[in-house]
Amino acid sequence: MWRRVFGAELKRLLKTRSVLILMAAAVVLAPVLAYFPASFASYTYRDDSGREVTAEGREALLLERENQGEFQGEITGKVLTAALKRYQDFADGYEGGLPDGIYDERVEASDYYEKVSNVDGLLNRVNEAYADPRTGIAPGLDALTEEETEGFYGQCRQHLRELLYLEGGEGERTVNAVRQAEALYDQVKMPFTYEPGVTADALEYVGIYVFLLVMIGTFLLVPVFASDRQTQADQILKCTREGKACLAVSRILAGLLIVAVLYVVCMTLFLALLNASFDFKGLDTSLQLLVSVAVFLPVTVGQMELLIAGAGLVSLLAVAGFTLFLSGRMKSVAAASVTAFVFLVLPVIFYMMLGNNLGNWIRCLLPAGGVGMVNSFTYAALNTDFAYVGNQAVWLPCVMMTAAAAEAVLFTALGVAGWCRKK
Amino acid sequence: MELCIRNLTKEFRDKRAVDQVSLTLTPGVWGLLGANGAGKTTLMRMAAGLLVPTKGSVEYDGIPIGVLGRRYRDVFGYLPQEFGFYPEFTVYDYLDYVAALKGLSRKEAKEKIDHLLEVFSLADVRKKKMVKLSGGMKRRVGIAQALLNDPEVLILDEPTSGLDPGERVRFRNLLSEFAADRIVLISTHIVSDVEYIASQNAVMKEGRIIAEGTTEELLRQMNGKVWSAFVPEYDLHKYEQGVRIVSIRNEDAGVVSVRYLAERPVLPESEAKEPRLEDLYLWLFPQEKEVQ
Repeated sequence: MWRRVFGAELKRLLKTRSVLILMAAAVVLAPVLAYFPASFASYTYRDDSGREVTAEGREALLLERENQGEFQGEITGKVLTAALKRYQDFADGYEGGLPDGIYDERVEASDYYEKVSNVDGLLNRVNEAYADPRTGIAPGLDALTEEETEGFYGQCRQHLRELLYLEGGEGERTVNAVRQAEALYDQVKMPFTYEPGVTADALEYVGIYVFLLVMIGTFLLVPVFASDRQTQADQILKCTREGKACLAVSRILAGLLIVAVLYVVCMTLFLALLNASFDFKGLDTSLQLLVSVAVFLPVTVGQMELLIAGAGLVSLLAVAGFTLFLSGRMKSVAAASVTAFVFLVLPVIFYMMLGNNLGNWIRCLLPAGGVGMVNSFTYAALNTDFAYVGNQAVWLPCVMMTAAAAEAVLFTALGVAGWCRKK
Repeated sequence: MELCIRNLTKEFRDKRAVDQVSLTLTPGVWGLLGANGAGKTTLMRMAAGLLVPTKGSVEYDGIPIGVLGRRYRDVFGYLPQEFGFYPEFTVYDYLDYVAALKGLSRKEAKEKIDHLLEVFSLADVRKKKMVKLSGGMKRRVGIAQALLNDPEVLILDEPTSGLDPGERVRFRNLLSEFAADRIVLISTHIVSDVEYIASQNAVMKEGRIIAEGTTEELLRQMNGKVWSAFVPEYDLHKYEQGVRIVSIRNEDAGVVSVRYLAERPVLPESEAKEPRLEDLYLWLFPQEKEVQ
């Protein structure tokens, strides 16, 4: 009988117009959002007549890839040294060097792209690794030496430690944070790998799409129980043999199944289109080269995309469970929608208004803690922020995911109890 | 087979909606009469297990319905006064959905739905979306869903509102047939609906049962209180102030026939009339008049 009720509920949801519209919106958003990150790429070169031409989008990515030459694949100390030499030769071409780096007004765009754009990103990571431990300010490309490029990988771990102390201050809790970060950093594959093409924008857009899918899932699930209470359809349903726990469980499972399948399908489509627009090879790039050497997640860009997508699914289930719980408690769809939306954006409000340890805990413990435009799992995983209880440190993505997983189960149970509750 | 309502009381924040109601419902049609706000719906919702009584209990064959749980649901059918549906569902989809919740297999559901669609003249609209049905058709679908599991206890809250006269007659006949060995409780303020088919009636006012019995028993208390008289039309307004008029009918030019309620004849040349349930209703609820 459970199967029959579940099937009936699945059919009901899939026949609901708002559900179909939101599902269509989720699918349409996949190619739209996948298009943007690659479209931001630009590459300026001189054509045969010596005129500067700026290519954009996919064409720019192809030119960039062609130009990358020896500075791709495994980025050893030797490669970095060669990169530094390339840059120094370029800078020496200008009278007095380039104290302001490539931003010097004498540097023409086509020169930058053709001569040093392929080493700029790599050297910025070296520059970052040698930042002043007291101020966090990097020395600048001009100040880098061959010894520093050769010793880059040894310095990375040191930089991470210095950064954590700079942010967390001296003390037992920072020691704990450093211990955890270093344990992860020890697993980071070195030397780093660089495959041109993909940009950090891609990761941000995965996070943005996760947020939009969670929002779509929220509005898709809001009416599941609330509309019946609003129209009083629940009175008939609750008087039936299977109209209480069986219906509540079936509804919740059907709702979760729909949003989960929708999420997996849309995210798969999105990632396929996104990575096809760059180049799938770029997914092998070490996260540390693309974002920051202080990222202590031992993954490549491709693995990070999957991690964000996976974390998004966990967050989606937590938000979906919470939304269904709200839907069962509210007497109108409008009230449930507004409340669900408030809880969806509450983490970002806490992020902006309360940036301390308490704020971190609250926003990460909320069901939507792992999603948002500026406060998501993506940013937390690429960052070095910890939440603290006494001297214990917990990395924010761990708080987000543990809370989300627990809440997905908790709110599902509360949703069933709420529906079965008599007045 | 009996549904026993014992000292049922329901208090909301600042109101006692149902006050110490006791009724023992046996097979047959029971009419629950009362003005709007008398507590009929609250009483029915407690009998349906949708509301928890503040005091008292509802028992089916001696067992509290809360203890019976799903066993009570198996023998129970309910049509609330207002009920929502799913606009995208067709009539068949909706009935199949409720049938699934009532524990009917696909095959059983199909047979039962086909039968009920015929009985309620809904076969032609089985594939029509619920949102496109007229009010009367929606009501008929509502009644059909209540009957899907062949309930032994059927509670219908204002089942005939929205039905046209023909549909109401068909519904009454169907119910009379259906109630032969079942308990059917109908709440209504359309007195004629229950007058012909109810074997027992209970009248509610301000949360309490103020009268209970067969239609004949209830009407006995109205003997000598129902009168009719012919009065000049221009005097009608004057009489309306003084007596409780049930109906007015134009007769010859300038003269109207008036049926009214009073302890003794008030109008000139009044004639005693046989009381009807509607008279009792208006006697007990002076502000209420049957609309349909």
